Amino acid sequence: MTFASLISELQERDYQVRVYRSGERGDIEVWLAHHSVSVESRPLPAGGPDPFLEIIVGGEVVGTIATEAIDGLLEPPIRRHPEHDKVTSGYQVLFEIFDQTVFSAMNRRELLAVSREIEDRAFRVGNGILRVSFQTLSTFESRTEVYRTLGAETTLDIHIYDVEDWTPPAITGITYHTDEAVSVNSYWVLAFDGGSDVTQACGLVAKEHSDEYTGFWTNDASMAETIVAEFNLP
Amino acid sequence: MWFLTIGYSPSLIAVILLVMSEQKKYLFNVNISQYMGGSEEDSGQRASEAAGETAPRFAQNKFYRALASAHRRRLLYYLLDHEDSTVDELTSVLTGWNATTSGTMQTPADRSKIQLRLKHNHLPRLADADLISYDADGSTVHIEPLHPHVKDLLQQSIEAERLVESG
Repeated sequence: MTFASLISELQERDYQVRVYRSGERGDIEVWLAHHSVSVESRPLPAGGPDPFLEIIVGGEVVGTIATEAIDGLLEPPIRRHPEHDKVTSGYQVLFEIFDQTVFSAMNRRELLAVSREIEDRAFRVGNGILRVSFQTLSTFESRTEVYRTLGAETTLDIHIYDVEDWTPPAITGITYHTDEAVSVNSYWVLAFDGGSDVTQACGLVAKEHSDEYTGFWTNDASMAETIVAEFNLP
Repeated sequence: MWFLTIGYSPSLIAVILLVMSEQKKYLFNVNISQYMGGSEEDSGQRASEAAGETAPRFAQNKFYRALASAHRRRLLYYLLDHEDSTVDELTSVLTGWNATTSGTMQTPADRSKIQLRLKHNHLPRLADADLISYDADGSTVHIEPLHPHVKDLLQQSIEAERLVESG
């Protein structure tokens, strides 16, 4: 199983989002359409419930959420609330509802927002294995402070896999891998095994195509494990 | 002052009695013209006779029981707009409605609980009160014509629910 096949297998699923609303097409519907997700809409009576959406995989509804709960989480400017708990609940919802949904045309800002949720979870659990690839070490440069904190304040075993184009500082708890970087070359990947709390396991796999990314994130422990394992392959 | 009170009492009582009897007559008229009679245990025999052949509804306990659930009022409100639906679609609407009021994601387990209650409680109760009809296989759920007062009531109930939420 390669990163490429993980993405393509998920892409082949019978996957659909159904939006229920009474008014105009909302931001999230536009966002989904721009990111190559099949969206259908159904009318609600005026004065009835607020808009909501359903995720349908293989004809089964796997999740239902108020549009309001996820609106704006991935649209620029992406602002994360300074209070951790509030932010996390929002991003947790995003992880739950769009678990293993393949999005195309994602930008770096969106990937960073998702990456931060994964780093946040690893920080909160404080132990376990976190494997990361931002493609090149120079991309990692902007994240150095975050990882310095992760290294200093947790017992996380952190592995950074990147193409060497910059010499990163030595940080306690962080192991750099540049020799094996070939397989992660054009991928932006993070995987956290959940450490002592497997419910916090999560991951992100995205492949770059001319400045845009196609990929998915996951809340699922076994998928996170699959991603973690993939890093070890030559 | 005492004698004055004594003096006025009989006429005062008479007036009260008169008002009461008028009121009763008025109520009874409303019963006949608007409440359309009924045959359930609490509906008066006279009302039922007076109502004649019209569909019994307002005088039936089962009508009020059918409306005594926020979920069933939501179903009727949705059906007022859609007329025909399916069990699957109604499950989606109730599940989504819950998602919007709770702000949390509804899982497949939440959804199947809602569907179970829909099939075994809500739909039978609404059909029993002649507010809807539906196929046993769940392929069609159809709303029956509702009295304007019932429509108003549903509208107000849904509005009130929103006010409670936002308040």
